[in-house]
Amino acid sequence: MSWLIEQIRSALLALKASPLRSFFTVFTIAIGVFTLIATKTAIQTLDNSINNVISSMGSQVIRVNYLPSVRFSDGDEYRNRKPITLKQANDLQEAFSGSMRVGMSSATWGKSVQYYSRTTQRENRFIGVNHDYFSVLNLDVGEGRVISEEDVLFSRAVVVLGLDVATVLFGEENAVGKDVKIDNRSYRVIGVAKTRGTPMGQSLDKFVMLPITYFVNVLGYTGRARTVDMYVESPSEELIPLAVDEITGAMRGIRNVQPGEDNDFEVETNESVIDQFSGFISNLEMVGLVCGLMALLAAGIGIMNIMLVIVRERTREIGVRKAVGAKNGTILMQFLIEAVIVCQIGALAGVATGIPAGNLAMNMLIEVETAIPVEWVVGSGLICTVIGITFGLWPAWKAARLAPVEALTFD
Amino acid sequence: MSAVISINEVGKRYIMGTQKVYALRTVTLDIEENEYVAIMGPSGSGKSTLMNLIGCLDTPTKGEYLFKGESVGKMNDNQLAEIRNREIGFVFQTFNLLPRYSSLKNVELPLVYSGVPGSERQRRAQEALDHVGLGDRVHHKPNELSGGQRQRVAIARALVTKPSIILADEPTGNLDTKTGYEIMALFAELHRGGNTIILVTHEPDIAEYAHRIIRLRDGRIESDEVNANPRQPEAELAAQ
Repeated sequence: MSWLIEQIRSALLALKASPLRSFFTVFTIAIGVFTLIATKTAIQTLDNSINNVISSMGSQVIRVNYLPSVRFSDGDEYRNRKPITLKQANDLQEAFSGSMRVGMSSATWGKSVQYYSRTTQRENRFIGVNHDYFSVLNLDVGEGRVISEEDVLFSRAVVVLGLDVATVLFGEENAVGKDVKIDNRSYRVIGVAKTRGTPMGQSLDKFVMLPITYFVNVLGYTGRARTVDMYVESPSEELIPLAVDEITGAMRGIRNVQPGEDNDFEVETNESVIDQFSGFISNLEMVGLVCGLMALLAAGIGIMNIMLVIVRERTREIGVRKAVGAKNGTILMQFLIEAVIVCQIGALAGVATGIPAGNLAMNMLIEVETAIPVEWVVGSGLICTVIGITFGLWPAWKAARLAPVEALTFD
Repeated sequence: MSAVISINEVGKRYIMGTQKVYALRTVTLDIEENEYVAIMGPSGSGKSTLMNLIGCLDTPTKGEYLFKGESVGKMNDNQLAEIRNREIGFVFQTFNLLPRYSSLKNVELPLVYSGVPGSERQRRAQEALDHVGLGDRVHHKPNELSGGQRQRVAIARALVTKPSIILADEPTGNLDTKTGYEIMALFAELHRGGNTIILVTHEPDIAEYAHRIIRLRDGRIESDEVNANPRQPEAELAAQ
């Protein structure tokens, strides 16, 4: 142990002797590790936030949309798909009445809400929903009540406010029972939703919900780009695959998809969405890994080169060490340890810069939790040790094999 | 007294290309414990080769070399390293100190390779430096020391393992006359203290300090004489 400490100390001393050269050598390794760690950190932050958002939905919820929720291309394959109409959604609900609840929503953006002299920004989602939407997605109100089956049946002009909207308009006052105006129409406030937090950096509390029948039939939000999203609650997680099959079958009937044709809608579970993401993410990971490893390989060859120069420069020193009793193995270890230490310092520098860089880069795009890819940090350390040993071996071997007499008389 | 070094018809031959070069033809000699021997000769006489053989830095191509009764010719690299570490202290013309290390660390080096633990190592290195009169220069690096001081550090390094022989190759070659006297005085003192000293030099007046002088010429021993009246460096120093 004390021998190893002595070796490490001596290696550090040797590195300090030519600081500029050591810096550049360390730098090449650091670039490789930086690439690995920064990529992985960025991916991990992305992964974390995706998982958070998706699992906030509840694991038993199956989404039915006319477009997939994750798309990595604009692909023509979706161009001809038609939005899901309220009629189709109602048909699906009808098909599963008594077995599965079907939540529905259809939304538009950029509404301001007015209460006498107070007005919110034009930043609120205006969402038509049905009664089951609340129970399937586990939404609840802090005051008042949620939208009822009757509200939907009779297309009542009632709204549930998001917490941000209620706070702007009513502050500490009770909002329930008051009348607010949206686009010059009057709505009775029946409830204020509990907060849904701010995942991915955006408040989910800027919305107004109203019966979907009023939204579609009275206000006329329908047509080309206005779809109804459905959230079907499977009775249990085990039954999800079965439920997906049933929903798919029912939707094909409802949307008149001919046998042999592809579905013109998507039935997604948490798992299927996460799967799509992981496919994309593991591709990204591969790219990062390959780039990082190539950089490390190049750095390794650089290290071999430098070590050969160092061994040549220190031939006399090797001779002296041998004269006072260093064995070949001891000299071999000395230079191997030196190579590994260069690599480890490089790894440390790469990790120390890569983690903040990955986090910062992702933070500029979306607000994410800080991530530290522990496995890759450990992995980088191991890879750098292997690189140090692999590329340090030949120079160290040359040093160890030097004949003491020749080394001592070397100029 | 027993022979520490017993060299019997030893020779060293190098092959350079197709030519055989005899660096040492045939040498036979014994060196007893606590002898003070000078090996003399002009350059090319084979004295460096003989020193390398005696110091176990190299192995002979013929003959037999017994170090304390053990045949050096049959030893592998590691065994030779151990002999050098435990039994031989080298003092070189160019000092050969490690430039990045303090005096103390330089002197500790042989002990590192013999596996002496850190605190013990430091104590013994300090002791050796005290012995050569550099107890107050332990943290200085070689470039902060004078030539004479550097050679003293090198001698302390040679002494620190309490070796059977001290092998000095032109130890005053890079020093001025007065400093040379001081170093020779140190060797005289070590000799009186019981050390075996082998001095390799081409300067007759340096060889005169030794009690036995071996002259080499063309790879053979030309003469091997007792020096009945060795020079006394302390007296010369005092006279200056």
